[in-house]
Amino acid sequence: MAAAAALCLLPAVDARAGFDDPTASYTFNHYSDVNGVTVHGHYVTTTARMNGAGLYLQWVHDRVVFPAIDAPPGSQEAVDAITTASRPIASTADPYEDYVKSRNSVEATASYHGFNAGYYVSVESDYFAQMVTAGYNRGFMGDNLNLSTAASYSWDSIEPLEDNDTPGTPDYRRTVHWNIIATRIVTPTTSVRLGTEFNRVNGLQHDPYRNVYVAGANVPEHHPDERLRRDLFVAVNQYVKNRSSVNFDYRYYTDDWGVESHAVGLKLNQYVTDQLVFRYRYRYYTQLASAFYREDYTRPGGVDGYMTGDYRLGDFGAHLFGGRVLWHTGRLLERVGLSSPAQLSFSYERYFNSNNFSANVVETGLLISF
Amino acid sequence: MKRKWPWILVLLHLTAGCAAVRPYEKEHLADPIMTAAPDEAMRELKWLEAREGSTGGAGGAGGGCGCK
Repeated sequence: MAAAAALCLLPAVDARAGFDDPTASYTFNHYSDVNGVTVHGHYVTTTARMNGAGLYLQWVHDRVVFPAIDAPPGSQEAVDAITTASRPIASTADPYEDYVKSRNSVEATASYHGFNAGYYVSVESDYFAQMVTAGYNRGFMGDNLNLSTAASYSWDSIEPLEDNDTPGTPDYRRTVHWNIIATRIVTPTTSVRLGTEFNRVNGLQHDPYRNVYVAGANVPEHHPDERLRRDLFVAVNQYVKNRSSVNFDYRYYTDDWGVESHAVGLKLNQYVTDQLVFRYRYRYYTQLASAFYREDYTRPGGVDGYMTGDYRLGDFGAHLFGGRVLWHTGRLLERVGLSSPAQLSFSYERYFNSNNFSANVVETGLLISF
Repeated sequence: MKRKWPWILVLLHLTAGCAAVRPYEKEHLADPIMTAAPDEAMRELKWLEAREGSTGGAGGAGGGCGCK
């Protein structure tokens, strides 16, 4: 409700003030998974153009709820759950209460004649993140080919909260990112996008609250301090005669921890009426484990000193199915005082993987063009 | 990863031979159903990164957070 009110407070920017094509949007995202974790995300975004420059501003508020442990106190199940928890536990009562965490982030980007630059900041109780970005794109061959490149540098400060069985030492994480993307218009109804990205991550990269059973002992999780991540992706968009389109995308990822993955997705978009669009999608994901991932660590010191309780570094496959409805309301919202063109969206996605993990993601949004 | 570079160059070379599309022929390409909004792609990347061991594909690095 607060976010919707904020959207209404955004100024209906007058063209006489020099702003062109301003928009404002609010999106609510609900995530819930089989482990009982719930995330509510509120996204408030505004864009405008002024004297040829583009402006983008977004505020995001996330509220994450980790559920209380559902096991009898003192039982082996409770001990295991507390040991491997990825949340701080400072007292004996903590694990039997929901743990709630809030995060606020702001991102601002300006673009001008193909150049763009931005700044991002995020604040939560144990993590402070900042990032600067810069990029450039240019059209060639009569704007049938667009080449873009961008880089970003982020520096994060991590100060773990008090936890009974992990050291909680303050730490940092730095990430350098670079990408290059080519977008080619192949025919009047086909476009192809090809890109590659590199990330060099340095600093704390394991969960500061999680322990792992190693050779019968309970030790803090430990990942390497450096990670080189690379991916290559391609997307093909094809317009089909009956006012529909097919979007195909593929991404190959690898890093120096040994993780290797493939993700392939397909979307079908269809105009049902001039104002209503349905979208169906499917995504398949498969991943090979990192070199130091083990289901059970039987030797002290893990694998070369590294040990993890993070299933995301193991072998698994995942499916995602979903649908989205997009409604261009036209003048229908004049009755509630919105005379500008508006767009309502609603989507539902179901995600499940081979680790018996599943999640539901529901999203709804309102976009207004002034 | 070095073995992937020739594939990139081949794809670019293949598409380089395509006939130029004139501005007045790009009506369908400008339709919103042809591409996903960048914000939508970044929102999805954020929660998928928190559930999978890989990242990328949205054409930009999402900002840092404790969720990763």
